[in-house]
Amino acid sequence: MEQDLTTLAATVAELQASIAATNGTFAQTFYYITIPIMVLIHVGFLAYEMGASRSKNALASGIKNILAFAMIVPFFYFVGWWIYWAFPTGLTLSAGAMGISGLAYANEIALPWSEYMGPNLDDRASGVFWGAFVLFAATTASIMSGGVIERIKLTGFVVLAIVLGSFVWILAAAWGWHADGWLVTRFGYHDFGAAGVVHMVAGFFTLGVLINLGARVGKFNPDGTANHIAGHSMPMTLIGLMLIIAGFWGFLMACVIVPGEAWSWGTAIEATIYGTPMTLSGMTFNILMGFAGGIIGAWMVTRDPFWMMSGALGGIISCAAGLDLWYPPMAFAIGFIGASMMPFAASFAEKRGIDDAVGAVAVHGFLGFWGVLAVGIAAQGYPAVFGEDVAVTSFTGQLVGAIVMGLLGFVPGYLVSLLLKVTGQLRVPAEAEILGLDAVKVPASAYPEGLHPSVSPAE
Amino acid sequence: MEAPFTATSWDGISGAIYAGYGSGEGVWLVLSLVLIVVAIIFGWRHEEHAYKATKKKL
Repeated sequence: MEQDLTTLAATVAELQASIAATNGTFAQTFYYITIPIMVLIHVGFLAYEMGASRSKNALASGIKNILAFAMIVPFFYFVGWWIYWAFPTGLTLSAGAMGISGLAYANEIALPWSEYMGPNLDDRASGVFWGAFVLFAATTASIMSGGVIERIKLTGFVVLAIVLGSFVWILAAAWGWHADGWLVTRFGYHDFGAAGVVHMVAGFFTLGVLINLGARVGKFNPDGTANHIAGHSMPMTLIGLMLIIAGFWGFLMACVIVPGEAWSWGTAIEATIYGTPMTLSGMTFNILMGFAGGIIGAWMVTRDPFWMMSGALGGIISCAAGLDLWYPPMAFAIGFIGASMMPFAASFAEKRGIDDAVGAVAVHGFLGFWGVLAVGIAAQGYPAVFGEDVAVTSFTGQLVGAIVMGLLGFVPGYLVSLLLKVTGQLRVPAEAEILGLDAVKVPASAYPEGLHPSVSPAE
Repeated sequence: MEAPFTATSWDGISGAIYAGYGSGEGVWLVLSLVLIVVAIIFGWRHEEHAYKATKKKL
């Protein structure tokens, strides 16, 4: 009998070790897979931006986008990851109630010389989490990248991309996308899919930059009316937008905390980054419903394929903050309403002299704002974070969060771009812009054999 | 840079295993940063020369 119990205990221990190994590998793989899926966002932004540029600027736009991604990776390693863990409670560097924030914690796990910031046989999580966050960071810079095409200096843009991707958005994430974040614990701010901390921050940062950067030559007439500057390849732009949508599945997947690991919120079910319960299954209903609502809403008001695909993106962004909570038809309606408003938000900005080449401010800034507020309107009263007697979601909490996100994006974007403008590092000279940036500074040609448009309707 | 442990087998090895752990990180961090700054400076110079050349052409 005693021997049987000993054998049984050994078998149970072996099974537990096996389950732990399997779950650990699953968890690691789960986040690892999100990274190549999110790379599709950048494939998409690359195609989108190049297509939205005139052929004389196609490669310069591409270089800018590729370089932003590459520059953010090391800076996010140097400092971005540390910011996320150091600042959730504000700027005091104090530890929060969950014990996963503050100076001491950040120094232990996220300084670039920490034992967890490289191959470590006892740590199967840090690298994949860091990688997923790097892709979030690169997304913010890509959002800005599209708005400023065809006239920004590359080095000025690189500085802005590093500031946005490695400093600004991750501070917003610490405050509003962390279980110890002060917006979450004090105001019940809820932003599951990063409508505020990624899209709104990047959109408002872009707005600040666009004010200083100014419009492309020929965009506005002397009387202030705007001209449409068409990109050279609408099909490339549309495919790019669809690739961004594909990448969004990885982005939203990476917003989920899987169960069963030491760092998980529990053993039974997936959770949000706040530790609140959710399911991938439930999120799936809402992503697709928001996506569909966005396309249909944008089609209804514009009939324009560019805005339809932007509407797909806009529909998901509109729903992003509450993807874990919506009743699916609600997600459809929120996406539909957001995408219907989006072209008007773009026109509003254009009438005020803002030349946003791809509608980044409207799609990401305005709809990020709408998405954050939507939770306050249609999903009030949910406990906002893991634990007992915690703050609940409310309109006030979402409004406070939205204001913080808007300012946190706009102010640094405006100030850093103003500094670049004053020092002559923001905008290319007019003659280079007119000639085309590819001919001026790119040692390659996008279309060396030329573009051959049809000369007659019958051809 | 050396392995952060002295062993002739992986048996019993755990924790951080990356080359230079605990001794050489600073050198590589600074080198990475310097390489980025140098690349940006060269990129900036290339851009400025390109714009000046364009001005001369017109």
